[in-house]
Amino acid sequence: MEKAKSGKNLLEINNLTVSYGDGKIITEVSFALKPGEIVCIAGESGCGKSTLIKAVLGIKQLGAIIEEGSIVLDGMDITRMSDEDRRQILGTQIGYVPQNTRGSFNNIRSYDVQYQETMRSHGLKFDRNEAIKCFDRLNFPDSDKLLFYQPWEMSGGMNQRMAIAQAVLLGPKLMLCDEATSVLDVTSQKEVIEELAKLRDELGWSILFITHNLGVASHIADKLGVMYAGRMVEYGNIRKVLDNPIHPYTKRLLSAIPGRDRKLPLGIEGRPPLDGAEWEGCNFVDRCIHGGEKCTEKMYKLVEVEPDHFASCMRGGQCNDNE
Amino acid sequence: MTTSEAPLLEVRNVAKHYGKGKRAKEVLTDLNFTLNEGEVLGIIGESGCGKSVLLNLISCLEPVSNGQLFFRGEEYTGRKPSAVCRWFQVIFQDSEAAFDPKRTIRESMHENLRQLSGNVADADKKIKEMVALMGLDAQLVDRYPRQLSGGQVQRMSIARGLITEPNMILCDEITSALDVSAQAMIMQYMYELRMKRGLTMIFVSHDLALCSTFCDRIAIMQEGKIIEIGTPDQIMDEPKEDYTKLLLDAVIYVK
Repeated sequence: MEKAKSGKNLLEINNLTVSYGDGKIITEVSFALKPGEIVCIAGESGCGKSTLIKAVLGIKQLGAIIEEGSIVLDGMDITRMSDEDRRQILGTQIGYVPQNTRGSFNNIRSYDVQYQETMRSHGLKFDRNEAIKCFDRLNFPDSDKLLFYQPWEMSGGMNQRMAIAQAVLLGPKLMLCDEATSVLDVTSQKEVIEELAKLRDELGWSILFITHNLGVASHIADKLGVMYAGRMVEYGNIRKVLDNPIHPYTKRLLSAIPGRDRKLPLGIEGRPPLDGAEWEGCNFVDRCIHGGEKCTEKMYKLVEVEPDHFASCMRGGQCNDNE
Repeated sequence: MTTSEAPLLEVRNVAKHYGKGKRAKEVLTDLNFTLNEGEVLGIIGESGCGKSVLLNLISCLEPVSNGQLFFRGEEYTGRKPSAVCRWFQVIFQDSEAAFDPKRTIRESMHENLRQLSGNVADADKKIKEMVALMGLDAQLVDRYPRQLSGGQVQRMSIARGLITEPNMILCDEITSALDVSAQAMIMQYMYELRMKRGLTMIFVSHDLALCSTFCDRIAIMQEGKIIEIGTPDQIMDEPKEDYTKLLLDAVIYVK
């Protein structure tokens, strides 16, 4: 493993194009994560959010094939790493919390045994006291008994938090969360989000957080990327993107969340194009209320609209919403 | 004894426990509420508070342990599910699992009609009408469930519930498995459905913000009891119970 002098960014994704063998799923996505930063990627089902995480994990069995571009972790190119080398960095340097952690644990073995096994397989020692300290830090109830439960005895929310605790014990620098709160009900969802934010503050974690809910993103993220049909359509500082959204898709995604005004949320008619990642022009044009010929003439490009805020709308978001 | 003033549904002192004797576990305790024609009642609570069990009891999928159920003033406690499924249709969270994977959507819908009314003569016309009402393309009914997106299957399952013309639909977390844009789409069509058909609904969810946009009244459930019931304005602006306040705090709005 060659390790270049580490730059400022912990994770850099440069011009990444990913496929599952036929047809592109993600096209030319680039962004970077600084240490201690939380980046959220939002978008609807099928936009390539999870594929992005699979590409970073790089596990061959997950099927994501990197066609072009590179992924750099702490100055080290991990795009085409051998399985052997990758095993050294997964878990201990890159942590992962999937959407449904029911499948991550064996239902009928205690957490104690499973934690031990995980630590051992990464060449680390398991210390029960340390695990209990970790539970305390995360404000888990009954922290001294938790290890001796089996996953089936736990609620979905608690199981999710046990998976986060396990990732914490391995001590990674970068955490990948794939819809980690979507299966939880509202109360546990808020708790898990707060725990993750706390871990970032205390341990200096960087988190790549995938979600479909901009509400969740607005509570946790420093930066927000909005993906549509395999492309990043808007990216930048979370406040700038949410306060002044440029791309019509970002605007529609925001209006789909039930708000304080108790008005019915607005949906987006239609489905994203399956081959949207292959399109040269804007791939949202079919569902965009402002979409016209102008939108397909030019090539897709992320343009800087203000410092730290990029968007790819061909009309620069210069559309009247009442048109 | 059907009177015109009787509410569409009345739940009186309903309780449910599983197990016997010392090991009995009470899931629902002493529930009371009524639902008028055309009204939408939201039921909110955390996972495991008994929301889904309540729907199972109302639709007779499970027998009640105590209490009575009335439909338009007529008691129907203890009937078979087949005797009441003309009144109630349940729509589940995971609707892909609610369709037969080996049948097209159209075949599944035909089955529903055959079982409930025995009348499949104008089935295709009905299917077309309902599918259009849910904003879907009529050609999609000839696909298999796996060939549709999550939001589309969910809308198909609502359409299937509606073709038998029930008096009431019971929605069990119908949008929790979907992303926000698909959820918003479903809610729009549900709203239109209310406007056009005046359908009565029970809308079970864990999302208070969503319920407040859509329901006439919201009931808050905690550990098998309804602790508070009121209009969205009452619940959101002047919550009485601590638990309701806790739920309100947990709602994630866009900052």
